[in-house]
Amino acid sequence: MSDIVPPQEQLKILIADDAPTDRMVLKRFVEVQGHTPLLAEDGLQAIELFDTESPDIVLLDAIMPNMDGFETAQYIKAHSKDRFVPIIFLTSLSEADSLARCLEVGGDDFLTKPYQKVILQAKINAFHRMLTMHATLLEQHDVIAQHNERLLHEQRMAKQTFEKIAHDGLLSAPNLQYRLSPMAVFNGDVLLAALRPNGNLCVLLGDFTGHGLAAAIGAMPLSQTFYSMVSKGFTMRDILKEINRKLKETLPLGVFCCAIMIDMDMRNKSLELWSGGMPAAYLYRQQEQRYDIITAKHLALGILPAESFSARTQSYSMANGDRLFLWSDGVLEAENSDGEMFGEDRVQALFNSEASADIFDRLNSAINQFSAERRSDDLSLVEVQMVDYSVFEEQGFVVPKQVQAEPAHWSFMLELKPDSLRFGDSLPLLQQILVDLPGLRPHSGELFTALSELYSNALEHGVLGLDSAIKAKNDGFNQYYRLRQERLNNLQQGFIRFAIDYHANAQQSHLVVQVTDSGQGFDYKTLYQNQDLENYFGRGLKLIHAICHSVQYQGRGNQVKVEFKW
Amino acid sequence: MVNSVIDLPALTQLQELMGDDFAELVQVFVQDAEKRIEQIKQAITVEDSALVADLVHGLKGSAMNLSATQLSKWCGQLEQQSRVGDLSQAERLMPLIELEYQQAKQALLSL
Repeated sequence: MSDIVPPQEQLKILIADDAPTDRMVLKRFVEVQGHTPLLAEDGLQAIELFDTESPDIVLLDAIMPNMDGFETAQYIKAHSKDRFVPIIFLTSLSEADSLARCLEVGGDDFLTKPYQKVILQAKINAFHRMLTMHATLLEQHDVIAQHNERLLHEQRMAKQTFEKIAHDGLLSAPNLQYRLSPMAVFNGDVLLAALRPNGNLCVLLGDFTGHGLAAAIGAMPLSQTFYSMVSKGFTMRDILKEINRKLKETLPLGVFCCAIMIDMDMRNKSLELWSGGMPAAYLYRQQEQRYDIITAKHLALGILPAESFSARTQSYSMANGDRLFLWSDGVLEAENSDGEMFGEDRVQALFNSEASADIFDRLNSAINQFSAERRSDDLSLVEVQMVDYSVFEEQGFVVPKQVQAEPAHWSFMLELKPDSLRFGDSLPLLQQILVDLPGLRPHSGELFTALSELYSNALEHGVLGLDSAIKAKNDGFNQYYRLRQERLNNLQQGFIRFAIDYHANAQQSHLVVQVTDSGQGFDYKTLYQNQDLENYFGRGLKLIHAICHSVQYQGRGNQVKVEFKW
Repeated sequence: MVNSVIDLPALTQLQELMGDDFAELVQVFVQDAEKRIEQIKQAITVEDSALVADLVHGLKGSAMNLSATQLSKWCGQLEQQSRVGDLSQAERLMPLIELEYQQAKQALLSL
């Protein structure tokens, strides 16, 4: 507040009067009150002084030679620009029409003769306060204008920044149609799309509570995490968990993100879907001309702590031409002029009417017609159609290139001793080290599955000496696992050793894992001679073979060497 | 007689305000009034009623400032009439104004 500049305590007061006694008296009045008088004998002198001295208040005689007070007042008012310059007419005029004329030309007040000190003082003080308020007002007006300008500037900046992070992603994909406000980021809606390294299409439609910057703030980590993790091949579950964790950490209390995320497998014609707090999605079956309604099964993102957050997804099969419709609640809550909402019934009526390929367009225009002139900026509508992946390839949408590995070669050995075997699942430790290998992410799920199988084999059949044939008997599973627990509890010696060798150049990464256990091994030679992998049950060999580029048993069967390449 | 020419209580305020400059104010008043009275008489001669009105308006104001109440009243009468183009009473009012002025001047100078 202190930098607002009120008019000087000492005002410049212009006195324009052709009568010398009036000038003398008024000059003295003004001086006695501590202000500075400027004296003019007629209107012409008055406007000259006004232009050169910028007085704060003008005392103006109505009848003067050369230029009268009325004309002078008009000139002053016309040349005050943003300033407020009060004009007090000095008058002995008593006729009503003359007083009216003083007002018409911009007079703010009157002072009648004989001048009385207290009255003039009161008027000058009153105008002084008005001038101070006016200055404050102007100052605040400027401040508000500046704030507003800065806010708009920041929003533009934020939008640019956001667009760089969120970019368009794959919103121009051949099977996507959407409607989204151009300033969506500031009304809280976010639509993201990207291909996973395996060619699956991931789409996320989010709707943040709140508007403006609060919503935009959440959109940043959301889209950053989405694009970064999708392109690295993380599963939807991992992505959702991470987004939830980030939003929970980042967003203020009460701000969260209703979201629906899909992972569309165009090769296997399936859809995985997670919905938290969003309106039901509609899956339209082209062939059968019917639709499934998929309701949200979860709370919105950013509400639950990591330990209680569920990223469980729902799976659907889809045929080419089937379409999934997603929307934010803005669609259902679009209002017409009577304050009525568009509502789910209208949506369903549309889906129930004769089936056609243009549900999206019809829905879009139905909403527009319904809400007519009402602003409907904060609604988002998305259609994702099942197509063949080749459609993407034909149109030049390809999976982003993997990060290429820097040349590297290292190895390490991890030996798990009885206490570790007994109490811990030590695999995550190993995964932790391997997960960040450049380019591995898209394949990490498979690798970890294989490692997990190798570990179980080494532990159960090797270290603990369990025979998987037990499982085949009646109640075999229970017996097997009871025995497993018993032997683990009593384990005094034994080990499982992982020897890892990683070798990478710009073209290929090569990971060799050798697992050795302290067990008796098994007759792998016979097994392989008989091509009996299918029936050999217990060691998950078929799976391991499917995943690894090579599988080689060694020694007495207590050692296996597998290779991964990517 | 002096009391009716000048409203003394009102003038006292002005004296206090002006202090040492009061005598000068009276001098200025006298000069201005005499100049105006001459101009008014000329304007009456040439029957310029608008000019008469403006000039007598100024004299009225000065008289009011110096609490020459009666003088300002005569002036006001002449102003009103001449403002609407009527100079018929000017011949009658002018001597009254001049006489009243002389008395006011004496009273002011004697203070």
